[in-house]
Amino acid sequence: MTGPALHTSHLTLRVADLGRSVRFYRDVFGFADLGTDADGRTLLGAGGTVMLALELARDADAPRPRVEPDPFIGMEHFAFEIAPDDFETLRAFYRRLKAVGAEIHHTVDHIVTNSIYFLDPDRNLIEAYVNCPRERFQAMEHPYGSLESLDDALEGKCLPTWMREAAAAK
Amino acid sequence: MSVTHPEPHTGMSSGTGAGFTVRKAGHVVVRVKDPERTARFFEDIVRDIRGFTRKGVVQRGMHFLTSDFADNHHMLLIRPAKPGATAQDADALVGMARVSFEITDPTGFERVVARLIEKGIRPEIDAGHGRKAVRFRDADGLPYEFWCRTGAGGAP
Repeated sequence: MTGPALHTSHLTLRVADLGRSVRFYRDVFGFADLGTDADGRTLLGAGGTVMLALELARDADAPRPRVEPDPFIGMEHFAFEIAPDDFETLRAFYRRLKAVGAEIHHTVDHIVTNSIYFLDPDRNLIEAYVNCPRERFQAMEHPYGSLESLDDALEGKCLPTWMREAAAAK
Repeated sequence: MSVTHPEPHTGMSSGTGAGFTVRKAGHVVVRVKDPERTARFFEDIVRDIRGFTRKGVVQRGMHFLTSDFADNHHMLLIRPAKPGATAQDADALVGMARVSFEITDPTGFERVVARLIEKGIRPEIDAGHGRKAVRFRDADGLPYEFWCRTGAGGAP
């Protein structure tokens, strides 16, 4: 197939306290500071790739985003893939979120992904996820169906669905 | 990808050794008045993009769009807003100001710009520093950007 390709590039956040947000994303995701762009935005990312741009709000007291379950029209959340099919990395990330005092909103075993949803200092809803192995989700007819909690798996009490299914298939 | 920066570095410290490296920006989820309308809008403006597809409509009227299912099962998830929901003005918020997608070549980028104009949208074009970007809002007022590299060192 020919033609241009498209991929998700980055999220621009307007923040109330630039230093606080830089510290948060550096501590949580391990993002590196990649400098500033021509618009004065602070660029953060990994592996030299910009994934997040932070700009300081003119009014630090401006309204914050509404978060589920409140009804709203707008951007609900933005997601970062933190590792390919490595659930232990997600468990370590879960412990890190708790260590830095981040507010965990909810967790989901989507089967195709294992996801943690949490709030940043401005109450933006952010998702960190790991996928199940690609050969598994590529074979799924509808890979987005499950909304079960992932809490027990993250606490080490059980395995996520895809790992249980893989173990059962052996 | 390597990034070059036309402005001075801030001097802030780099990553703190998280024990992992974030692999990629994955997707955005939006709440809209009319998910079918929004999905058709994106299908129309990026219809020349390689592999772009609406993967399926599953439970609760959600639409999953991606151009690279093998690596990213969705880039944009469009969900219906709940009854009684009102719009948040992204310009007035501390919060998500814009979501950006990269198009890999300038020709594809110009086609997207043309499609936006065909739809009566007056996009904001931002060019320079080895890249070109178009910023626009959808029917619900949600802010997006498409950008492409136009020269060496081009970065968001």
